[in-house]
Amino acid sequence: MPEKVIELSHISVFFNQDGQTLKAVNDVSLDVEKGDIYGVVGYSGAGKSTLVRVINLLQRPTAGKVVVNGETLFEKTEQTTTVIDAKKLRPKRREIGMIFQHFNLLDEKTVIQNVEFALKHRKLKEKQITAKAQELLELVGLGDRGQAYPAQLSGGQQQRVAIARALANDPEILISDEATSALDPKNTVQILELLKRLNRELNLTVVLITHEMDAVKRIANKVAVMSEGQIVERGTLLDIFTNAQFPLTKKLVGTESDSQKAMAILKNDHAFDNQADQSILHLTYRGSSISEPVTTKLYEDFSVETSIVYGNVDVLRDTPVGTLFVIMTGAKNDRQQAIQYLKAHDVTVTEVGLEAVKND
Amino acid sequence: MTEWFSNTFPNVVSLGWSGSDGWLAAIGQTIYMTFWSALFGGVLGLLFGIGLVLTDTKGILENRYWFNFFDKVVSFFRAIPFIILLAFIAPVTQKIVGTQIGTTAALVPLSLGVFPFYARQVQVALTSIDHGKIEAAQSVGATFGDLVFDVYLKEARSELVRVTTVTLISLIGLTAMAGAIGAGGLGNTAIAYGYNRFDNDVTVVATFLVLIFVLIIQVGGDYLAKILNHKAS
Repeated sequence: MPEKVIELSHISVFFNQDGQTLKAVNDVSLDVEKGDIYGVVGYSGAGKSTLVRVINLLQRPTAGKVVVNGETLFEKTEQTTTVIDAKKLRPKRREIGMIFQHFNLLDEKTVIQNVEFALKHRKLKEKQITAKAQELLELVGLGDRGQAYPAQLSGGQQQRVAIARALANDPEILISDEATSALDPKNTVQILELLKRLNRELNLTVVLITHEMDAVKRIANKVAVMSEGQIVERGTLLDIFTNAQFPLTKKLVGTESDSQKAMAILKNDHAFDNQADQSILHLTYRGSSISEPVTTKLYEDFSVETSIVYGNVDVLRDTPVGTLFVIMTGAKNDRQQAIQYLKAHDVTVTEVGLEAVKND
Repeated sequence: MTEWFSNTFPNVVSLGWSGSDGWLAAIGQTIYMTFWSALFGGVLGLLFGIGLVLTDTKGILENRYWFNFFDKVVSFFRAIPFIILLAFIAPVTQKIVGTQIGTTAALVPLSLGVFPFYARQVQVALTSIDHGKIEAAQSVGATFGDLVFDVYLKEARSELVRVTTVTLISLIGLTAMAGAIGAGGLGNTAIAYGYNRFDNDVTVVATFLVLIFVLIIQVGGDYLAKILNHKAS
């Protein structure tokens, strides 16, 4: 069993707004294991940021239990409330780095002073603090910009400084709250690759809050989907992408748009006659387990014809994942055998009902 | 030149440079009053301004009672017109300074007159700091002192210099009224020796000197605010 570094149990965060209770987070439990890059996705207002702010108690929950690295920071039962005291919370917070959408650097401090600020309470000599800060800046590729002020840097560079600051106290956990949302695509990729590298090299556990599915696809290994204060679906990245159940998840991961496009093509496709010897299949596969020869093979071995209606390939954490909508034509028995064959070769097969085409 | 000056401004010359009614005394009194009341009123205003921001909703010491206390005290003193405050506060001045009149006695009402104005300005300056900076500092384990000095005060320093400039200029305005309790200063010279005696040349020169003070503070303040600012424009 991998070690759990973050355990959130039955967390609720309620706000009072004009006499009304706003349930920003409603009874959410989330465990993050060491070395995870855990993506938390959802639209804005879903409660993602509020939920992760509970981890380092920037947001105190209304109810629930927060355990980080085995230590209980907060626990509220019906009878008692236990909160870690402020003196112990500060060093605990240093074990949890955090980066933000708008970087939140101190504008009146130079880049290196920003990193040194995080090291202020370490029992180190001034020289050692400077050396450590310099080392961190080099880690994020900004070793030569220490004397600049944040306003002189680009957004991507500012986020790198923020990462250096967040890593100053050698945390085991890094919370990234929409850290790439204010960056252009090129910088976004660079920052994500940096997070991935830190995850690999420092065995850093990352909690990645984002509304951009592409960020999650690129680096996360696990995903939780939030909507209206609750986690509606969770699982490994592959599960979520190939086997999403909740409508919002389908929409976010793009399976919905895939099937919509496929349906649109099918509707206008005259080759598809709704005949009894045809079925529409939705195939999902990993890596390169399927390719042109498979179509040929299906024809040769099972005498079924497969025509591709729609296809798409996503890259999930360096693994290509393909989606195909095909029409299979052949005798019922043959088609079933062909489907068995595909399933045996790690292809997820979902038969799409004819009603779906007609009703859509 | 000298002849032209004594012809154009005869009463200015007759007031004399030194002496208790002289220009040097008036200038000295204005500087004295401005400096000390800026110091006392400034410290008080800064404390109240910080207090207002920290105890406000979402502040790091959120506390409704203390916020209300700061807020009401500031509002109360801001509501009193300064010329009335001079008289109103006289018994307190008597207790602190031992006299109700004179330049030093004027420091009490001046400090109390300027601090609520400054407190509000400081409040605005500190409120302009993005809450995200506070969160980021807290996330690296910043202490209360770090938050106040490294985040609030340091991040707002340029803005604080700007509001201090505005406050100082308005304080010079207040010192002009302190003449009413015998505090002297350039304002008193302009009114008592200029206006009241129909010696307009005295008023003109006193005004001109006040303008020079204001100009020095304004230019100095703007320069300081500029070099202390590293935010993106």
